[in-house]
Amino acid sequence: MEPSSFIYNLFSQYGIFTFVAPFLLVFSLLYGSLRKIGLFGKDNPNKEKLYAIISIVIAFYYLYSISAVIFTSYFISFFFFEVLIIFFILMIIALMAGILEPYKGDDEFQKYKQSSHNIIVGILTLTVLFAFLYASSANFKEFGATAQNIMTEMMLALILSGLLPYLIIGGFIIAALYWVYKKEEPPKKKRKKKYFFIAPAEALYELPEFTKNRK
Amino acid sequence: MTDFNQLLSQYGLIDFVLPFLLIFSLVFMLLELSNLLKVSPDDTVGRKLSALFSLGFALLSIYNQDLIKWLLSFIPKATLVIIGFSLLVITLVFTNKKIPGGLRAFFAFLVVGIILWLAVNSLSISGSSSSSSPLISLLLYQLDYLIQSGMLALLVIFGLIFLVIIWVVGGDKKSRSSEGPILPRSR
Repeated sequence: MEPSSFIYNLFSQYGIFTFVAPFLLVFSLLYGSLRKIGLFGKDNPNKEKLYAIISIVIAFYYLYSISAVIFTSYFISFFFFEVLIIFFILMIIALMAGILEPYKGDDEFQKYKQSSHNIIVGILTLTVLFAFLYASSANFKEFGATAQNIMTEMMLALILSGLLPYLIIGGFIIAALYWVYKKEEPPKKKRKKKYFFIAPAEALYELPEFTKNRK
Repeated sequence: MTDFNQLLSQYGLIDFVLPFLLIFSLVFMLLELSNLLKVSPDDTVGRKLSALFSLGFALLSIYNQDLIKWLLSFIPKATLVIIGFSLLVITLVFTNKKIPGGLRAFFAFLVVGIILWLAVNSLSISGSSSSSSPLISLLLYQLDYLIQSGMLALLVIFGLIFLVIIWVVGGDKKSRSSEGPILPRSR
């Protein structure tokens, strides 16, 4: 499907996508961040003007590189798609949570649930990395190609400098030493295998509750 | 009916207005929820900045026309899933909320699985013009590089050695526990 609508073509022609939109995005983000962190003190009477000037200048510098703008477009569009997926998941989960009674386990179950919650948060943060990978893997000149090679370059540097084998071997030695010298723990109770299945699900059901109670 | 759809497409409802409204509202909601650009919860300037950021975000996202294809492929199917689970919830009303924990967990994983599957399908069906899925191609490239350089083999070998050591040395723990309690014997 090629963009054929009158409005899309008109906006492209007048630089709304390549000039106005990226400017608004970067300017508002920088200005808002500068206001929030209060870098130039609270009593400075000219601070708002200074924040505005700095944000405008940086935003124009950013617009100078069209490949960076296109990269941003791909980056944020994929990120939005991921946000939409999370939104749909949370919507259905919240729908189900209202009708089904939550599982009330013991203290061990609560620990499992907390760990599951932490893992879910970790996975959610990975969405940014996925969006970056997508944007860098799309076919671009300059910026995209550079970003695409970051992981490969890092790996290559580790191999060429001979560090990677040492790192791997060192990692195994540290793991072995930890395993040998770790303190003997008192025998644990038998783990309930069903907690591995139920606790992550309960952590998922709790996610919409967190957003609901947020002020 | 088809003419009406074509008319809507012609005036940018499908590839501009609807995605813009969706992206703008979702991003604005997230910014309001996170208070990212606000100094205090009642900060009006912060709210305006959030609106400007959302406007820029929405316009710049629409510039990537692949997103429009993903949305067109993903949203109708995901909405169908919502309808399906709503009907399920309606039928579960009769059970008086006494649903076992395992079944509740199963539903949660089912939802996540179905939505993720639909999303991946949307990406691979209507991926970018250069390849079917750039993300997968990049990951495959990295894997291929690891294999070619021999690093993957090194990792696997060391991992196997480590596992064997753990298995051999840690084996007596089980047998010790299976011995049972030490009973005093009569001579």
